[in-house]
Amino acid sequence: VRIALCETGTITPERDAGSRAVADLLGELTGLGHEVQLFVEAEQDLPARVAAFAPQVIVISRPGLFARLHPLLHPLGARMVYLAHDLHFVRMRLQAELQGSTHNSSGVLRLIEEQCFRKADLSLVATAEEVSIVEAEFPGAAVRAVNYFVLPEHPLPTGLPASFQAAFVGGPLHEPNFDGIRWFLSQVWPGVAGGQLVIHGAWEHEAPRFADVTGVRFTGALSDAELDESLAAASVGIAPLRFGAGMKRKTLHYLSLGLPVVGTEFAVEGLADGAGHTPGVTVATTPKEWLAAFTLLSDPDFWASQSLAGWSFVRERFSASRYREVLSSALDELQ
Amino acid sequence: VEPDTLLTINRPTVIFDVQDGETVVIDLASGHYYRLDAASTALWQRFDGSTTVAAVLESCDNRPELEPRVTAIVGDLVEKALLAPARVDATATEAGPWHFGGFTLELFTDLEDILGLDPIHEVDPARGWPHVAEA
Repeated sequence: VRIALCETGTITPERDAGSRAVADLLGELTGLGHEVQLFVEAEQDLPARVAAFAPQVIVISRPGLFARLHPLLHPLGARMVYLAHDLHFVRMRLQAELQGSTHNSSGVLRLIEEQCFRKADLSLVATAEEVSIVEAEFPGAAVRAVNYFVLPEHPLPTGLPASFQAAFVGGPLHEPNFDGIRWFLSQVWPGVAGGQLVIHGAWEHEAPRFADVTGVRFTGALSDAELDESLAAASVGIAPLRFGAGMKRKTLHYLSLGLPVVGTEFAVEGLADGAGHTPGVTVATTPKEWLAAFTLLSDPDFWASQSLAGWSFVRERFSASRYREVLSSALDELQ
Repeated sequence: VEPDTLLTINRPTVIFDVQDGETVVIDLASGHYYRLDAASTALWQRFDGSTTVAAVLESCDNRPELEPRVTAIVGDLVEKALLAPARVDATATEAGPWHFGGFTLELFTDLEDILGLDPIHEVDPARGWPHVAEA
């Protein structure tokens, strides 16, 4: 199948999870034998370039881009797929509730996202929870959950590192990350005695705000290899997200390295096993629960069992072969 | 804007929704959105079809004192690309009389990152990741 994949700008997988998801989709569609070409809106004449490619399927990433491009590309007669990444209106609604805001941005996004879900021949979201929300909010929309991320395979770590080190991965431009770290550093971290927190991502501009917090180190943005090397020294991955919608790559990334995770319910959305739990993750909400989880993970046996459980879960559920299986099924349905 | 130029809402780049008399207008190209109160919505809805400034003024029951103001407002909406010339084959839409009660276009820019052209790529094109482009 000839597939045009449309994105706003050059994809930078090391910068944001959405870009990573597009790169994964591009790679796996190609791996399935499809003829795939990436089209970038920031370059000129995207509709004309897509038309010249004569695609049978057009995948458009992100709501603003889909809303802009659908009217221009729909006349080509190709099947239109919306890659949602996230239910932005849900995330913004949760953020407004948490922060006591009455801002109307959630309503604006809902309006746009409704158009995307209704006009697409098929919409791809990351989790079954998001499928349920879309089906309830926009009845009749054709929506499927795909794996969204492919996690590379890593060796299982040998054991609990000697000193406590928590690790966080994520940039501050994504509001749940910034809010989560600010909350964690003020509410949880003061209760951790003698450990180190390593924050990975482009926090250069925000790091000075936390200069008076002890035991925190900002690495800046790292390459994949550098990031994995840094995470290998950690004893726990944290995801203190207080709002959000969709699957969190950081959770999967920690688990793929055999790093046990402590995170909020938002950190594990869409990542439950058959029993409703996310292997390798301890869910914590209050500061007390966070500290209790860290105490539990200081036991080498418990740490090892969590490490193995999470590592095995990701290898089974988020491998390239599993991704291709789910994606093929979705594309079959489209045709 | 010429008085007899046929204008319409600049679809598909611009979408809007009317709820309880108020309107949210979204410019998908810039990521900006606007709130119009009920009075402002009355003028906006004149262009939900195709019409001219002359026709809008003609059907306005308090036209005489407002002509320059309405013309300026419509000019501003065209400049912001919220209104645009209609297709050459478009015909004017019939509409009844209306009353001009004021016009306020309240701008919001907080969704630029999500809706704008290039939400994630402030990377310096020469030096590449992770260097941020200078403003």
